[in-house]
Amino acid sequence: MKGKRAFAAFRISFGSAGAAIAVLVAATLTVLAADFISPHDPLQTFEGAYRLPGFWSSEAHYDPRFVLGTDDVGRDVLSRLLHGARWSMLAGLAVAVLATALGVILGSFAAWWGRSVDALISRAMDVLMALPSILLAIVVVTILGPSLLNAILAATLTAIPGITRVVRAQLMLEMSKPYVAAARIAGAGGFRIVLRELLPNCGGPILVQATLGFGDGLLNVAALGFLGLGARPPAPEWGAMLADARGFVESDPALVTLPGLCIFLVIWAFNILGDEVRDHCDPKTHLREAR
Amino acid sequence: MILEARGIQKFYEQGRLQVLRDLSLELHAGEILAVVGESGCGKSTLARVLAGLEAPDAGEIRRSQAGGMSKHPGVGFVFQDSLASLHPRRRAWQQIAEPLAILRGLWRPTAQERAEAERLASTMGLSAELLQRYPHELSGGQRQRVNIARAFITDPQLLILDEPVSALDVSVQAQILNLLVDLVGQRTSRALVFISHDLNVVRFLTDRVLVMYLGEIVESGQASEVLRRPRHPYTAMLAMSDPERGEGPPTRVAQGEPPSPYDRPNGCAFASRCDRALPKCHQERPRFVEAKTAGRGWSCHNPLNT
Repeated sequence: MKGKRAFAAFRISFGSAGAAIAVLVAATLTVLAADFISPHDPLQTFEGAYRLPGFWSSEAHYDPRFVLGTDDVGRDVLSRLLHGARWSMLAGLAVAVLATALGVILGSFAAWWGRSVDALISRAMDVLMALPSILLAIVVVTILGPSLLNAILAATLTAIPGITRVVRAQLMLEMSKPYVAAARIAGAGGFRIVLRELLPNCGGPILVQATLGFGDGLLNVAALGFLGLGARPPAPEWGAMLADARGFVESDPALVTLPGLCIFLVIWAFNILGDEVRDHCDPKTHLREAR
Repeated sequence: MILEARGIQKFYEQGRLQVLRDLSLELHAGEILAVVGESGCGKSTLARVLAGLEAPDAGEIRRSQAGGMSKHPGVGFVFQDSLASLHPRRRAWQQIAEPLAILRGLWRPTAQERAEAERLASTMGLSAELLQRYPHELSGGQRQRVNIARAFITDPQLLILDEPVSALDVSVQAQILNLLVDLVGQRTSRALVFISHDLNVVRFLTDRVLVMYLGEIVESGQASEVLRRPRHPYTAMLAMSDPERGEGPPTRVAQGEPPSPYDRPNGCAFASRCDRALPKCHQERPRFVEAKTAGRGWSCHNPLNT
């Protein structure tokens, strides 16, 4: 009974959602097993094997050691992509976790602790939102110095306003309901009401934002990497790989296409998953199905 | 005395809208007080102010403290919307036990609170099986029982019910009202404020009635007396327009709408709808006249049944 209930709650309609889950499962497995499944060390350069084409090439100089070819300094592209999943996914995860945690804290303060706190937090979020996110991220990284950690912090900063706003709006919606008034009458304090009454009933929209924040964070970190402001060479981060391959767009389009495709697939999967989570976390459909 | 309110004023929208006007009332132990009036007369706001959910803009509210227990909220509240007033993701027993956990400074109810909640719920006809359910899995009547149990579990001195049965079927209404009568009858140390627009319910349940019109008390007194011999024409109109009075069709149906609270008339607020209005009624606001009988009073220049 319990297992069936859990199954019903997490049942995913197949189609694009199924494909998205498959992509994310594959990406997660790659993150965990990149060391075992990649054929070569991602940093190892092979003398004389520069910019070899991959398996799609019928030319004589396709080397079966490098299924997806090699880059301009002779590193195996497949190995770099597999290890790149680790960098990009972990960067996205870090952004999603950090931004959600800070957004929930800020949004809760804005919603519950009075007008002046609300005004302060909301106006600060307006300022952050007024700047294009990538521009803001560039400014932050320029100040802090280029590194993957700083790119993650910058991407987090750009993701915070969206989550804070959703949390604040959702909490305010819940606050107007009488069950919250009932808790106040029973003598519950602010922390108790936010943590025990409000947040448990706002989990769905927050989870949706966190899922989308994962994809956006990954994209922003990759974009900073592409601009040379994120992961430093020779790290096999997808955005940095794009940047390295920029000069060979015409001669070797696969070198930019493959990391670009990886970024696209993972972000697409997170957006589809976000939509799916949104549908499943609506408390009414969720609880009705869970019965 | 359980509660005393003096000169309560409450404004909304930066003072442009007055919802409570010079409102005073006393509540004694063992008393059941009904507040009746049309929609928008301010009765729900009064309930929220008395419960401490909203602070009045003027006037004071004094509540006797329950014997040194300063943490005890001392108020129970039952809302009209039985579904929205329950936490959507808590089982019924958890809803009932939560106020005990708050009172005892616990983060969540323990087995002790659960046992107490189950004991109280069983006296209200809520089976152990029902207590396992979530709010949306209960019927309206069952939900309102859970709400009442939650309001009673901490044994508050003052229980405020804001239209607790208005959203329920008539047959379920009677069950809930009987339950309330039983619960209040058991303990004479508590008082109950019952907000309602339904005079039948008031007749059935309460000792004393306050009739509100546009944020003011226009008549008060013993329920039977007020409904049988109303002095204020508005009370008479309410009593006569009650379709379940059992004396044929309503003879004097309420005419028109109350005046806009944004643009309050100078004289009596009811004068524009009143068939007994004198010229004076349009100019001068009537004073609240207290009768010889304690608690009986009205504010009218030309009262009925004199």
